[in-house]
Amino acid sequence: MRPQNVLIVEDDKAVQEMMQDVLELQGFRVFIASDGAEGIERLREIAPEPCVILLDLMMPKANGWQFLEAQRSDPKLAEYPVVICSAYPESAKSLKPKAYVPKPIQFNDLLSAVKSNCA
Amino acid sequence: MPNHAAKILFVDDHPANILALHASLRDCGYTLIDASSGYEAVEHAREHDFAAILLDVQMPGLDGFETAKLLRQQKRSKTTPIIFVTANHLTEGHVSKGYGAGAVDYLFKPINVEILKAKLAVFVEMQRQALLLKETAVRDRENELLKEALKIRDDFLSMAAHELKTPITPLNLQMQAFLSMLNEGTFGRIEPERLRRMLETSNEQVQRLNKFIDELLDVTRISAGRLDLKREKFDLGELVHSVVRSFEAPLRAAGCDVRLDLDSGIVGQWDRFRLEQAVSNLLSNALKYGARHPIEVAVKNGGKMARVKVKDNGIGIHPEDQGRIFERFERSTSSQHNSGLGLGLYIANQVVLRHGGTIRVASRPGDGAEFVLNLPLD
Repeated sequence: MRPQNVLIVEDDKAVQEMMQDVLELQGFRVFIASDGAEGIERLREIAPEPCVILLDLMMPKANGWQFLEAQRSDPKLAEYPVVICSAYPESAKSLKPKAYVPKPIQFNDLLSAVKSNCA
Repeated sequence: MPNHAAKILFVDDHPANILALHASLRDCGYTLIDASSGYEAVEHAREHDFAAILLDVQMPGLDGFETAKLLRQQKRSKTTPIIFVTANHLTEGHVSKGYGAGAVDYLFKPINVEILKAKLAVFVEMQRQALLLKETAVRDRENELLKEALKIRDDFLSMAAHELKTPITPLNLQMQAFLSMLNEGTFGRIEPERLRRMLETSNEQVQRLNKFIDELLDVTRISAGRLDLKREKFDLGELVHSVVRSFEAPLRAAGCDVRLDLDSGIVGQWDRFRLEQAVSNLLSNALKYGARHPIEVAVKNGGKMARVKVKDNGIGIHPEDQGRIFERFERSTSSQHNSGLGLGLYIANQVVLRHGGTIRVASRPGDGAEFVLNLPLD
């Protein structure tokens, strides 16, 4: 079976790398973007399309809010499921993501959020 | 409000008048201070805040008018109510001369004690009200400053909590993934290179947490005045060189070349650990804000002072921010995307101040920043 693609949009390097490692160990193919703007770019490039986007909110350049605005206003990108990973539950939930994973991230939360979208 | 007895100054060259006044005001609870001449009165008014000054008009030497003028020129008695005491039958000219000299009221000899008491009571009450107003204003200002300080601290705490939490995510993920894979019997599938990388990342996170906590403890030490120096004799150039060497990996990762210009033999009695910390903080700032550009590091003998210069060629610091960056809990606005507690320059500056030195910054936005650390050599 072909590995499924996951996009991580997160600015902290250590968080990025560790998410990538544990998801790769679970058989996913992982793409990384360090801010919202790079996230949109990656999203257009990844093929096949990612089964889930793991999105941080507080980021430089374009943050998570701006990423979502850009994504949702583009019909080609709007349908991809987004899981917000954030230490700010109110902000995260007000954005109506597919799922929310609180930070600091627990392995099981991450895995179930990803697996429920990438069955 | 502390209930200090109101002070009244009585100026008269006749001791008998002074005695009589003391007797009549004995029960009023005022502190009476006497002066037998204008000069003496001016001296007293420099030392005390009087509720009122009773001033005899006819005195040898400085008369009442001249004394009043001097009292008005003196800051402390500039607005103190002056009551002229006079035996003269007053002409209009006389009265206006008195008011012109700063009198607010007149009393005639022999003094009517009841009238005197009534007038004094008014002035004492006025002084009390003025004092209350002043104290309220001071307290309001203090409250405002306190609120501001609390707000800054709360903002800092919420930022610090966030920074402290960030390294927990990679630690969580690594440990929990390993445990889960051990339980499922798949741990052996992890490639050695990946395993090493994950452990290195986790190790860095623990160091990162430790550094944050050390910084928080340093701030507490500094606030409590307990930043104690352990002085020993060493070569500043060697210390700076070893700090630069310890930054080799992050410098390479940030794409920064370091140009070293270190004079040797600059030896002084300083705290090695604290100076390493100060230089590290300057260097890590240079790296953060000047990534992909060369960094210059120099150690020079400046006569009485040793100089350490760290110059980056990065984004620079706006003039408005240049004073602020050494404050606690502050960082330049352009740096919101840079992680860390923003305590580095504050701690570096405090360490150098504690050594009797200074840190100066020169920068223009877009044109890099130069930090010069001056340390006394003796």
